[in-house]
Amino acid sequence: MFDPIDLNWFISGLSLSVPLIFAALGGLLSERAGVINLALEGMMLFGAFVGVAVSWWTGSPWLGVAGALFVGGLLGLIHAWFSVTVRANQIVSATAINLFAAGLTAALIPAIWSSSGSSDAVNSFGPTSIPILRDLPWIGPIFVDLNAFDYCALLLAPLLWVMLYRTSFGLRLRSCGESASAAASVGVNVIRIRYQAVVLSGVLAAAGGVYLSLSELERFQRNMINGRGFLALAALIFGRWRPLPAVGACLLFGMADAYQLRAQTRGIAVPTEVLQALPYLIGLAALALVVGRRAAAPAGIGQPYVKD
Amino acid sequence: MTRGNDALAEALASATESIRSAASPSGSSKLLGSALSFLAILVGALVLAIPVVYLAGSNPLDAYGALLSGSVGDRRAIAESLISMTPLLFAGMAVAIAFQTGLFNIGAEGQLVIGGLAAGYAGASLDLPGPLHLVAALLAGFVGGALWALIPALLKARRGVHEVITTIMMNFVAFSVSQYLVKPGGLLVSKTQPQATEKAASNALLPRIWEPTRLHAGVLLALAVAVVCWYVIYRTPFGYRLRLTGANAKAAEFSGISTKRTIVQAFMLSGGLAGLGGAVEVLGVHGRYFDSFSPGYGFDSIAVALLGALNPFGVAVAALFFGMLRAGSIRLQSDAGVSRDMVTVISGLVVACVALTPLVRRLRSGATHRRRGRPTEPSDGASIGLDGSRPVPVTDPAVGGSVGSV
Amino acid sequence: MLRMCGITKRYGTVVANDRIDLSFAHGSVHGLLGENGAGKSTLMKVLFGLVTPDEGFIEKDGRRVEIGSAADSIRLGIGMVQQHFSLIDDFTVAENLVLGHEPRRRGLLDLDSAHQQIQELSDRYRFRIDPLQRVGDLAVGARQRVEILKALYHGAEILILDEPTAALAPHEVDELSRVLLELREQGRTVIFISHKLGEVVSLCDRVTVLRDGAVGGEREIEASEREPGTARTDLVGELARMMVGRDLPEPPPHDTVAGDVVVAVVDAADGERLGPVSFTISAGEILGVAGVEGNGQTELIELLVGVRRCRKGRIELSGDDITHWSVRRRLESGLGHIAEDRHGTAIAEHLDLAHNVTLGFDRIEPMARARRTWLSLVSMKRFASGLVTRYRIQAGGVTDPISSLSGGNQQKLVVGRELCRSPLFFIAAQPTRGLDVGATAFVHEELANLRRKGAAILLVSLELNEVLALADRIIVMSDGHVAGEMASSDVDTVTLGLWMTGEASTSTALAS
Repeated sequence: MFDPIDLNWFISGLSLSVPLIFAALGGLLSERAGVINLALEGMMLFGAFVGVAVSWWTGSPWLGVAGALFVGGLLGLIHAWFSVTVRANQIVSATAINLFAAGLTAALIPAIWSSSGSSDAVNSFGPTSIPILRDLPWIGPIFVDLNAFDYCALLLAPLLWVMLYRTSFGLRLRSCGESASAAASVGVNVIRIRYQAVVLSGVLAAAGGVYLSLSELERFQRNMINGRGFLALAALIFGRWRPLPAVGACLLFGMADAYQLRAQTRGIAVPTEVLQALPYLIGLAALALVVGRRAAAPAGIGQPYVKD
Repeated sequence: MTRGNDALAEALASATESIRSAASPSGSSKLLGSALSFLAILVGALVLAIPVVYLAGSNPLDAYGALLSGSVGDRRAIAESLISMTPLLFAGMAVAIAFQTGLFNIGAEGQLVIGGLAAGYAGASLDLPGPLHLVAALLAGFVGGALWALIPALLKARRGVHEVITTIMMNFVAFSVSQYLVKPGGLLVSKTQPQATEKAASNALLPRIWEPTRLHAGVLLALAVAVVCWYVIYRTPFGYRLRLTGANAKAAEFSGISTKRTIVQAFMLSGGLAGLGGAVEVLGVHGRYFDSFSPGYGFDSIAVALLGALNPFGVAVAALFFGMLRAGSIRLQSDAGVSRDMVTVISGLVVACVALTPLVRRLRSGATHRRRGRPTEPSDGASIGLDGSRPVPVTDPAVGGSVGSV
Repeated sequence: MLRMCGITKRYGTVVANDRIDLSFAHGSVHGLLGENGAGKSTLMKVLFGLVTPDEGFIEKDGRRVEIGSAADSIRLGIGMVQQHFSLIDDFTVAENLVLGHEPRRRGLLDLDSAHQQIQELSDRYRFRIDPLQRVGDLAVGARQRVEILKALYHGAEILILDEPTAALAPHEVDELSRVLLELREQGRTVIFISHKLGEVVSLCDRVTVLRDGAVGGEREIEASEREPGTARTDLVGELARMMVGRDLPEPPPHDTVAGDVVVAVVDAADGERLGPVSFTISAGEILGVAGVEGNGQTELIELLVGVRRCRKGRIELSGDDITHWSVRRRLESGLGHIAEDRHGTAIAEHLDLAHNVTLGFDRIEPMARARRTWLSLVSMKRFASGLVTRYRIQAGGVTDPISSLSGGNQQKLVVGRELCRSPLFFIAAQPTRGLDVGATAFVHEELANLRRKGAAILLVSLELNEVLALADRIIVMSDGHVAGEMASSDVDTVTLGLWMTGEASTSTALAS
């Protein structure tokens, strides 16, 4: 059914997990600071859309990325405002963002391009092969086909780990998620840190989205995120809110996604629809298998902080 | 007879008969307050949608005018509004009941699809006399939706997995299942119609009630179901258990309620209602199940439930409004050139406005009273009520025992 | 040298602090004594910058100072350890202490130098704290020392301790007093807020008594008056009078004799940290459970109520084996339960009174009618009205949300509701926590009434005095087991303390 040591499978799995990695790490930041972020899906969608729109308009995919990141940050700001300042129900406000994003991005396709389902094709990124690493035996080919984004995603996890556990910003961020009142009692500016974390999560989620639209599909399609924002959350939970395990879970989902794509082209006997459902089924299974999950979540997550 | 009875009889006997409700607001002023919140949210969403309308290449006058004419402009439009209202009422009720129990059922779309599929299949393949066939097909829809909600329900009750993610996953699985079953060569696909099941038998269809429009009896069924739901939620012990579980799951446990069982029951009821909505749409409008027959009713229903303040009658009014939006969106597209997805945008804005209610409440109480020391606002920030005078469900994502973090 | 002059704070019509003048000297342990609601916490919140006074000012070393926030007071060298610790369980001691003022080296956290500093500090005051340990794994006494260490680490010369012994066993109180002595020797000032007369006398050099928001009296305490004897008794009486304006009442006599065994718990265990536990309660008897928080009391109550599964042993109620009975069955068979965490467990805040009193009654007449297909709102409202009248609860209407009631009135409603189960077996867990004097007296009286009527009562309380005053027999829980049992008339605090910290078994205690 599959070749165990198939580098191509690994590479395509890697590529497919990149949007999940960005989104999951974004979710990690937000939730570690104490704010539930279910709006990753909407943020990814907006990122994907704006990336394509700006790239189409300006001709430059890099400007597209910049635009996407900016809009992602903006959405993060909105979710932060709802969650931290308004102290609204964080799930409700995230649902609002998701619905709004789904509707708006779909509604604007015909307004900008003439079709109703997807945009025109846009310029994209080429692969960035790394000089010395690409000549390594066995694993060399990995460093040929990946582009700058992929490397970013891979570097992001260890970087985030260092940030969370070895910097004072990370310590304060985690304290906001564990106990906002304890953090505030020693002078940590809980509100500012939560805002920063959620805005960053928006930026990262948008990065995941724009990767999907600019780098993989090279266009924007209606509802193209297709639940990946929630798969990223499942990966986060499965990875117990820790950067490296969460990325591992994203890789798992990515490999499953890659498998179903390859299986379709290889004419495997399993029907395509079942394969299409595979990532979601694995997501469900992953969630079902997580034991003692309550103990792993940041202790103060979802609880709004009220200044006396 | 248990000991509790004796004590109760004693307590009641020594009580004064007059109920001390002089200080609490009367029923009619509560209603006024709710109506005002409803309108405020609606107007807020429509106003916020104006810049989006411009972005989409039109202007508010044309766009809202088209919406209006497409929804109430003529007899056909009104009928279409009511037709769209029907599945929204079922799904809105489904989401509302889940919310009352403290559950976020975002899976109404998938449950709707499976319910419609089951009903379409039952309508075409069963052979029962008279109205029995229709009842059986509707029942199949209900059961299909309920079963589709079972996995998220069990995961939540047994493993504490947060239902937002699981129900959304189930949605995608439902779409795959649907595509698989009615694709060319699929198990249930019709021989004459692609991407659909066979046409249901004529006695399994919901009759038209307003010729020459498409309006069918489903709308009456929906209203009847809304009344039944109101009764179940507010006037039965089962409904009490639902609401208490939503208000404070731990207190419910300590008072003898099995929250695990209640969660599963509520979830399945919710899924069943959504499935029924799909069934009604299939049997009343199309006569067969089509892949992608739902333009997103399940997602709109989240907004419908919240706008309706989780109360069956509020949900009915909200469903009517969104039904009008859906019906009017055809004209919106043809006359004003704005995509029908605008309805989803308005959904999102409605939910956003609902999310803002704690802010509004705080501003109002800050303006009318000076700080009295004890804040009246619930400090967990997770309540989704519209106005403080009505019992509202509270969900705390980190509450003990039954809820997992997301 | 710290002076508070003319401090006044009003909350609406309530005067929490009424022109209070106080001064604190270097190198002393100064007690602030008063009942719940006397104004101690407010005064200290003023000192710590959490509350701004309406009138009055503060002087430090002769100079006027403005304390507008906690940061201001920390800068002035004032530290506060509150009753509810603000520590992060998942962090180590070091991480908790450096949070907010993290030492850095080349952009990254420098935890090594922090570890060193903290170890030095801990050694200097003999705190016995390991900076690398995870706070969540520490016992309560150790966590409190971490909090004190935190204040010292931030440079506090003046330490405010708010009810520091509330969660400590007598043995840990000794440890704390050693630490306080050490602090005093090194010139620090400790302000010791408490409502426990005995401890204030034992630990403080000087005590100020607050009563109804004003200074009720002030006194130096000589070393001779600390020893048990007439001097101490006189001092205690004098302070008590200052505190309440009258002599303390005698504890009520235990005049009834217990009947047959109603509740029997035999080797019950939950398969985790609780058990095996065995004890009995007879009709007309109050069994008090003393013990430091976190030793299995909560789990025991959950076991008895039925929320926690009993995996070994059995529980019997009036001869029936109820070990595997559902919660509902137990409630309907005469179990009443005042939960220790009212908001989490006993009421639903956003529902109204009528719905809240129906908890546990939703399946029986007259609330549920017509074979449980109908819920009678009228009966629910009538029940609620009945309770409101009978227990003189201050409430608006029965359809108002229960959150509109004060804490004391909510508790009265809960107590009334539970009593209406006509209980054979009544569990009262921390029944007077957070209540004012009047509500506390009400609860105690109802418990006494219930006892007279022949119910078996389990009283779990962290307030040792409450347990001693009400219970006929006392058991002590430590580490999920019953460490010892004695009649309340035979109680000796040394043995109790040893039991609480699990440092002696019953037999050695009896032998000593």
